[in-house]
Amino acid sequence: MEQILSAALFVLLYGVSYGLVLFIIAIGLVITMGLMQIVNLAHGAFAAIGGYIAVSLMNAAGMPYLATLCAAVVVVVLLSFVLERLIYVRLYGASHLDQILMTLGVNFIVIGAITILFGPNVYPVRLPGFLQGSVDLGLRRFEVYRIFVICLGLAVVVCLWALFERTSFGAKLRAAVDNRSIAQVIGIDVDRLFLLAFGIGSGLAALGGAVGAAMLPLEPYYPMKYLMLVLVVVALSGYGNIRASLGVAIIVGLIDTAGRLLVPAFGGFAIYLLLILLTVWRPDGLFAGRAS
Amino acid sequence: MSEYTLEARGLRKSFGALSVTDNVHLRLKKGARHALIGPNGAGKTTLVGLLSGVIRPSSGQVFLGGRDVTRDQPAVRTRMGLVRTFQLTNLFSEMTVIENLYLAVGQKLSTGFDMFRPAGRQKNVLDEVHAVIDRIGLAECAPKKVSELAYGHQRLVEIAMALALEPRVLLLDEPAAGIPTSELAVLVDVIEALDPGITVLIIEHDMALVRRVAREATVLVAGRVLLEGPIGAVMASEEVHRVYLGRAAKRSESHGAN
Amino acid sequence: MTLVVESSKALVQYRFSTCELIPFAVAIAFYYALPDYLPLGTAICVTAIFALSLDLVIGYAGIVTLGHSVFFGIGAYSAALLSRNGWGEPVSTVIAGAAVSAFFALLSGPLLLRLRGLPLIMVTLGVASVVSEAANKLSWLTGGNDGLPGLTFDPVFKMFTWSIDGKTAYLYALAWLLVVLIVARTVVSSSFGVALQGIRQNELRMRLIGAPVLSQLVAIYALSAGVAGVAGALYAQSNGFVGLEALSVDQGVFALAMIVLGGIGRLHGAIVGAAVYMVVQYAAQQWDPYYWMLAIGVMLVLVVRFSKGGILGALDELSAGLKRRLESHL
Repeated sequence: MEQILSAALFVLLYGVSYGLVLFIIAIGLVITMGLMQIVNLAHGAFAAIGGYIAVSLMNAAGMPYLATLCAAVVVVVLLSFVLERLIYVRLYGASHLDQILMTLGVNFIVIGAITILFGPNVYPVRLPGFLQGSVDLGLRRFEVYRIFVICLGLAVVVCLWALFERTSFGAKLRAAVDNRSIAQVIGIDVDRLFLLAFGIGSGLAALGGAVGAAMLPLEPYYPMKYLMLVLVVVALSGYGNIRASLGVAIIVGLIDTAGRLLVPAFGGFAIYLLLILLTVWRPDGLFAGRAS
Repeated sequence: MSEYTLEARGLRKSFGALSVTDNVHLRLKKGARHALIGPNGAGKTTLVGLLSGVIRPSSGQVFLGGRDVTRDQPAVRTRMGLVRTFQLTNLFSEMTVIENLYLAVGQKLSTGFDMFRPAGRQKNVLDEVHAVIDRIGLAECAPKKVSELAYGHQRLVEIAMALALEPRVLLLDEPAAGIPTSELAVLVDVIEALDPGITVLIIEHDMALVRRVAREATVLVAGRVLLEGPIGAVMASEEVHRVYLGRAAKRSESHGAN
Repeated sequence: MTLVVESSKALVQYRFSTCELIPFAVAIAFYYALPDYLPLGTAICVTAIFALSLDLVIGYAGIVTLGHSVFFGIGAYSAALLSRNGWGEPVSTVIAGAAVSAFFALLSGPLLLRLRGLPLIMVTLGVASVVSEAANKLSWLTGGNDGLPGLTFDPVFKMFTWSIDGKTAYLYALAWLLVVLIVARTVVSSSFGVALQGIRQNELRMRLIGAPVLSQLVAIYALSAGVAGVAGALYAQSNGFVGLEALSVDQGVFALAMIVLGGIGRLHGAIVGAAVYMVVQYAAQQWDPYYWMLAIGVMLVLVVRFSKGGILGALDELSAGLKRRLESHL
């Protein structure tokens, strides 16, 4: 009995922390695809860049951990503004194929750049002192790092909730995601909204990449490797349903963790099989019924 | 064998609480020339969608030549001879007229899986394509892309596509929509020249065209059948005038009737 | 920017125009001029065949799939398993590889091809990921991480032995490329090919013409899978080794980049794109192993941004512009 509970707590802790990191990374893409209708396959690149910046600042410049997180977010947000003006602005209304190809190109460029700057191997992450070690919470020991991730993740969720539900920016964003043309008609500056939303989404991705670097190892192929998982979250939550994506991300984290634990031989599949089955059953996502 | 080529029984389509089509009955005998009229938003195009299979009914049935086709996909119904044209031009706009008709005739002559003979050498298909082009009078437009054609010619291509499929039942969804009165004559001639064996259901607002082409009419208002009968009686009915035609149409009646 | 195919060519009397043979003339010249680079040439032929298969589904039928690597891998592993179990006849091995791939396409097609757009992209990605992971786990069959090495094949037509200088392999792969190209050209110029274009342009209208759209899409999907299987089997034969990278999802993504680079929806674009991509990759790797992805990414962005039809499209515009200049001067 104790073993089962212990295992369940393990799955819960690891699954939720993993899921929250996925959520932080994916929410930006949920917004981009829901609001801007752009299939941005380069979203994972923002996470990767954030991760690399944070870790390299800590390794090379000895910056304090939390400062590196902030720096990563700021740099990526600025970068995303530049990219939006240069590249993404041309993708509004383009065909899915065009969007995929363009963002794929950006992905390749980022992967190439990372390889040149940091080499082809996994970039080692050393957690700061206060995040190392584990804490005994009764049934089993829990890594401090994981608990930190969960707390940070929840903090992000709360902030996002406040942003979406309690500010006028959030209200405008929700309106525009729901029905863009009507939002424009009632006077919402959708283009500026896009830019800000894109920046926020990219910044969050960077945060996710930076915080999650010990969970999702940094390597040049990071943008493509975790793209699949992020896309799964976006797809299953209906390509733009912000609220649903939190639930979906955590479920994905739990299923993946549980799968790997319980059925090690095939645990990695569980998510992909889920994606295939659910997409074939409900092509528009689990929570369909949006005005598009 | 049913005496009706096309029949709708109790067709109903609702979206939540909104009933777009409500208990519609329709019966067309072979060779009918039947008009479907009604004010905008009455659900005429929805009805055509239900009949052609693009929209699934909430309840009710559709019969084609006595066979229940309610569960059949649009492609199946087309292959059985039920063909519709579109109100908004829905052709292959980046292809030429010849290629558009090639697709229709090719499908009719079952070349859809012919992977070996070059398209340009399918003589039987090309002969039939040119026959249809001549019949409709599209010889000049034939090599042009549909997107480059004048709107009136595009409507003719729509009808040509339908005829190329050798329909038993033809659903014409506002064939004259958007065509200036001056160019209407060609279209009217084509419709009048349709094989008398084809059963035709025509949705139209242009009452002059309706009078010339149709023998019976069904009036649809708010998704329900208001009235049905010979065209003269329907057009003269007080009720119909009140609900739909209004005084302006009464004036055009006395002008365009003969 | 549009990636629309010039469809009026479909109804032109079928004629193998002489400039279509240019790539093969180049290939023959390559054989004599650069014998040290034959392995690269062979790889280009194999990749070109795979790119061709992708062009058939994406460029002509409009089925955007990111999971086509599955069929390449199936072809490769089929050929490898045949060789390991004693069957060494090369041509029939390739046909077998194609058949197995096509078979799986026939199985999955009717289900997958009900989807379009984003859901289809996601599912094909998912399937490819699952198959790739499965191959890793099923190491008793696939050799897992170590793959299946030491594959040997009988001489081609019992005459041409596989020599170390790679001459046989090159000409063999080139011959297969020619065969595949002829088959593909025939199919896209046929009534079936025109129907596919119709489906790509206006699927609803095709249904309302009575076309059995799903069946037609499954047919091209299976044909394309077969071609991908040919490429995979050739890959096994020319390398003598098959590993997990044959099933890697990346292959399909790179192939997509290739056909866009060369010009989507015109078959020859796949060949040109594959050649350019592989040469750039090779050259960049000589210079610095890590620059090639950067180069490919930049090319991709530039092509999507500026050139409507890839390299061949740009060449078309160039020659049209030249013609106009000449005519205005005369």
